[in-house]
Amino acid sequence: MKNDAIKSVVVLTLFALIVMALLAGINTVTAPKIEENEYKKMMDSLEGLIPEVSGEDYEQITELSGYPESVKNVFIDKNGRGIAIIFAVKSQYSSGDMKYSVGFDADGKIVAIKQISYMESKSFGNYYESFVGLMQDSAADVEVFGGVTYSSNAFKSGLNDAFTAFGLANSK
Amino acid sequence: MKSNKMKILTNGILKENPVLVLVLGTCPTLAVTTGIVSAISMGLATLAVLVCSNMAIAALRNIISDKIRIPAYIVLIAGFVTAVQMLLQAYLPDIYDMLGVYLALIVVNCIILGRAEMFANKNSVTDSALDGIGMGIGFTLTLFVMAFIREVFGNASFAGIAIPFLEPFKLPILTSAPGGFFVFGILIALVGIITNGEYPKKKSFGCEGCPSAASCSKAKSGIPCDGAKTEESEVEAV
Repeated sequence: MKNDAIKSVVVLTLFALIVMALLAGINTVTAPKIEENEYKKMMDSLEGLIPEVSGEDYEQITELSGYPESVKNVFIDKNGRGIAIIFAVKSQYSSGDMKYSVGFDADGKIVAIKQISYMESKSFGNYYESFVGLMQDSAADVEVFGGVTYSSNAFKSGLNDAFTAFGLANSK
Repeated sequence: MKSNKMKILTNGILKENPVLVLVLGTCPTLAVTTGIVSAISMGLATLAVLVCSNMAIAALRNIISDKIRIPAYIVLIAGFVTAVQMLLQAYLPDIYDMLGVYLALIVVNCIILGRAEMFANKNSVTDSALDGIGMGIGFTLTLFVMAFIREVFGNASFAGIAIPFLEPFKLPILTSAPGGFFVFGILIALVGIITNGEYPKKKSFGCEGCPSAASCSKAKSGIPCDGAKTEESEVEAV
């Protein structure tokens, strides 16, 4: 009886270790490619985010200490026409990041939002587009999307962080 | 011998179709069949995991004891699903985004655990691989047929390409959950008619087919458990 228990523990542990080693091997091969895909998606989302601002016009802020945790990248237009913020958030039951790029004009008004990734089981469609044209105060008043409350709240929280990041980047 | 192998391979396509006859994997079936591309992608991803997990479980069936078989299967299946996820994310990112959370949910797809319990842990590696291929093809074909009906008649498009002449006649309800259940029910009925309702055989879903049969004293003694009470067993009990 005791031997059976020990054997079971050993077999399960070995299984877990072998599977883990195999996955680590696959990860070594796929991780650089995944990172490259993510970067390309992020850069693609910047195109047309702020009117008349193209990818080459942006300067990336590399030092993000002091910025909200959800803010992943900040790009400033060299000609002062606006700021693009990338944020990623998770909702309470999410299986992955919800990642968005937000374009602000020089006054802090949202000019465009693009979805980079969304891993929830239930889509909230183009809910994020209802925030376009809004400033921070009015964005807080937009109601959550019925049936997708957790994702909506997570998105609104991320967007609020993006407004904070805009304030920080704009003051520099 | 050869015909037996062929039977294992073709069983999953119609006679023991995992979705329409065994009624397994209903959640992803309803969720991803709003589009043909996502349906085929999900079917192929599941096929890959099913074949690999069936082969691994068949190869390790003598090492895995009854007591730890479920956690051992889950570890193996989760490993294969994670590998498929990583490969798709790296090399087919559009498909990865399209399948979203349902890709990870293949781990708990009843077809995979069901075939591990019903077939792979009792058969050879080759037979289990054939069973996985057959069941995977059956699953993929079912998803394709459902997605075809839902996308073409519900959205007037085929694989995302608009079909203008169907636009005035489209039934948008087919792309929503009630429409999915409706199409699912119709297909189950059709398969029932084609197979004359012969499948699945009672044996497959009686005590012998129960996932706990190996460790159940009632199954070993031939006495049906409460969940499978029949008139015969009641007579015998009297």
